[in-house]
Amino acid sequence: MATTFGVFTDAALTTPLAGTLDFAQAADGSTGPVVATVYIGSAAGTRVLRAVANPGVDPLVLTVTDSSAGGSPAADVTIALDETFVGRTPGASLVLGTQINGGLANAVAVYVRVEDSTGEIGLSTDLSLVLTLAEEL
Amino acid sequence: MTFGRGLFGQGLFGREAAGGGGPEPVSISVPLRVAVVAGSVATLRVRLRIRVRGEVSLSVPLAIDVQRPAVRLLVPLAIRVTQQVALVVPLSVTVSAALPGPVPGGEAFIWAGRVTLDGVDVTARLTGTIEVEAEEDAARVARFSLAPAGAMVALSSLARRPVTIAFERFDAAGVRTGIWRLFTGLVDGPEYDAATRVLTLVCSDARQAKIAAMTRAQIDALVPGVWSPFVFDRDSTSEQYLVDRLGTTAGSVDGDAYGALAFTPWAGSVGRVITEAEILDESLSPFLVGAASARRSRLTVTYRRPQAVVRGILFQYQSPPLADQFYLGLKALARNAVEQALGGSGATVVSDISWMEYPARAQVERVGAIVAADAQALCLGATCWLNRRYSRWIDETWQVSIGTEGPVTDESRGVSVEWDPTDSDQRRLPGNAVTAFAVAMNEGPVPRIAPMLGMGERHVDYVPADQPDSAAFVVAYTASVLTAARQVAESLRGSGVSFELALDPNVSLRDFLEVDTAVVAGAGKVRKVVHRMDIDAGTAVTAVEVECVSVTLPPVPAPARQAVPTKIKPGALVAKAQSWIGGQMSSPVWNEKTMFGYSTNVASPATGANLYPEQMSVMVPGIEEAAQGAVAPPPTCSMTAGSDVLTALTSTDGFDLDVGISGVGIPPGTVLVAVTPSARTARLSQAATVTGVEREVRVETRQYINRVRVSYHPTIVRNGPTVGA
Repeated sequence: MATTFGVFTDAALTTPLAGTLDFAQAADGSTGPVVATVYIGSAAGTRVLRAVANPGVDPLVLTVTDSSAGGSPAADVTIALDETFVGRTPGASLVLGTQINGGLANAVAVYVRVEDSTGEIGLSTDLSLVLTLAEEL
Repeated sequence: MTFGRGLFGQGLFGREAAGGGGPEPVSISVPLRVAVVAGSVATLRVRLRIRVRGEVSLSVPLAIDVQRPAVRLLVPLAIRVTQQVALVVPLSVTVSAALPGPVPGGEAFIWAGRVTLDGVDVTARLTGTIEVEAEEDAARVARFSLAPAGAMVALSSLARRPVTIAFERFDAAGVRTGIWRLFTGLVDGPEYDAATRVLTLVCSDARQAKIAAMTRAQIDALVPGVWSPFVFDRDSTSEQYLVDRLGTTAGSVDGDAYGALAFTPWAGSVGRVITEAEILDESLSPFLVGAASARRSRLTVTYRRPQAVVRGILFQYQSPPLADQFYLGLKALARNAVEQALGGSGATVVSDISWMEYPARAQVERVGAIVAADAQALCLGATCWLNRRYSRWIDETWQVSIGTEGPVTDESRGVSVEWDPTDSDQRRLPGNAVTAFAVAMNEGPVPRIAPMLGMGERHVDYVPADQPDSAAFVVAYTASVLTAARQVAESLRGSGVSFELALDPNVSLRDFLEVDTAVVAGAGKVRKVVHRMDIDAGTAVTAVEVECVSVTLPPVPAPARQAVPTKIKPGALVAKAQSWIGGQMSSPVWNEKTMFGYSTNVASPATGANLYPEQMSVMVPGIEEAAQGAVAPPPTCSMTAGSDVLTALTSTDGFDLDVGISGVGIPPGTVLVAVTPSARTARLSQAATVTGVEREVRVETRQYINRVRVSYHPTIVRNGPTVGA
């Protein structure tokens, strides 16, 4: 069974995210926060995504992970389910619910806001958003 | 049952129940003891008598066969097939300092290109030139080469791999001062040079694929503009839909360095001034579009639709006075004769017939009384309303002049209501309809038109579902005008300034730049950017083309609608029915083509007098050709003073022999004496008095609607290039 759930750059779930989700920042902070949106879902309406551990009970959590000590810190990234980011803490994980149903209408829009705090010129690829290991059925 | 001991042993005894119980099969085992005495023969006889006297306790042996039960066990199984999914969104954060500008005479800056292929940094293998090219309304294309890595690589494995290209700057100490993304896309096609083993990757930002994956709603959100299914293909692909919609704007859609598509208008305010200090030597060059490419347009937009018409006609007949009828001995007019005449008239009786009562008894002075026993079946006249129904096509036409420069190009766009006339014909063929409008039963797809109880006409525009109604036509008109205006604007664009800079990753197609030098100046939108990093030569250059013609498309005024002519021929609203009395010396010769009404004869016809048929007839005027013919703008033609031939007629509809024709340059009273539709020519009875082209002419068999002439011009502003000549 091929997996159909994925991360897409459009609400129609037609364009899977290829490569990285890119953000450009000025070292002097003049760029300000930059927001991008990705969609987690499946075009197949009959499919469901649940956590592998205790499916249907344990939540699906999107976590900001930092693979190295250098580069951008996780706190430079804020993720939210709405574009206002109200109540969201930089670097905090985001609960997407106990399951995500397939179908375009059920795709979860995740808003990713990045604002560099380092001021260090360079390209950081150490940050990722990782979803709880899930199963699709 | 009990047992007791008897003479020869133990036996049954007891009291028999009253009434007896009848024999009862009982299996009883009776022990017998025999005593044998020597020398004697004994015959033993044991008599057994069993009587059931009372309650007995019978022991009935039961044979119970216990077998293993047959049991079928059903165990439902639930098999859940799952696939583990590990979703990861890798983030890339590029932090850059402000790009330091070049210092004239200063030290050369240090740069590097940075390329990732499928997430792997392949910068160390770069060789040759890295080039990123972005142009309006086109995909961003990149090209770079990789030195051999000493491993076999399947070319097919490289296709569609994600690629990023960045530009890095370092200071004199080798400290990186900035990194800027130039390209984000996919490998389009790898090329391999077997001689050098250099792998060259041609990449694209997949603009076409991205658009193909977009819904129309997403495209609407991306591109302003107007779209009409009556102008463009309603079933077009997403890419064509974007092209159609974009074609009604003055702007472009292209991707940025990160591959994000955006719309940029062709006019905007300058955000940066480029001076001589930044421009590389001998790279500055103005360019100008050829004057021949400029053109303007004359767009003809026609809205064609059917119109249903019901015409109310008065029928009124009054017979000769009753006294005349008596003295001449005329037959009284029967009501059913009137009804039959109306029924065969070709028109529809839409009201009750109002009868002029025939008297049941009439007193004739000094003669006596006349009694009509069947007076209720007779009449002295009748009145009612008749209807005729027909349809016609209306062509409203607007001629829009777009642009002011260059030669004129004629374009035409038709927005037409289409419907299947057989649809209503098959349902009901109205006996009095001259075309396919079925209006009687309110059952078909065509609208029901209420009967007209009065003299005149009622007009109903008929637009089936999913066909262009008035509102949809306005959208179609607007889209048509904007599309033509953009094409005119495109013909004028192409004048600007090109130059090269030390590679500046911040220059994009979204920018409006001003070039301010002593020799060449100009300002406008960036229409093309090429970043070129030559690793071998050590140069990093950005080539820029600035379009100095800015364009905006002002709102299109809604098309002014013209009144549709509704001319009715005089006398066409009254049915003809008179009294015709034959047998008199004054009676004219019978003519069935002109003598409509009640015809009869006197009781004693004069010798040699003309006799008439006893009948009632009605002539209901038909729908004149000018009324039911298509209503369109007057055709145009070329005419020459002194010549009786019209040429280049745009239409010969309604042109026929002896039909009157009028127009500027045509003498009054002129009629057509010859028409050749295939050659688009007509010969007049009199020569034209003026010479001209595109002259409007009108024939008397058609009604015309004015051709609306309007102007619409895109706002064109030239901000250069200017040169120090």
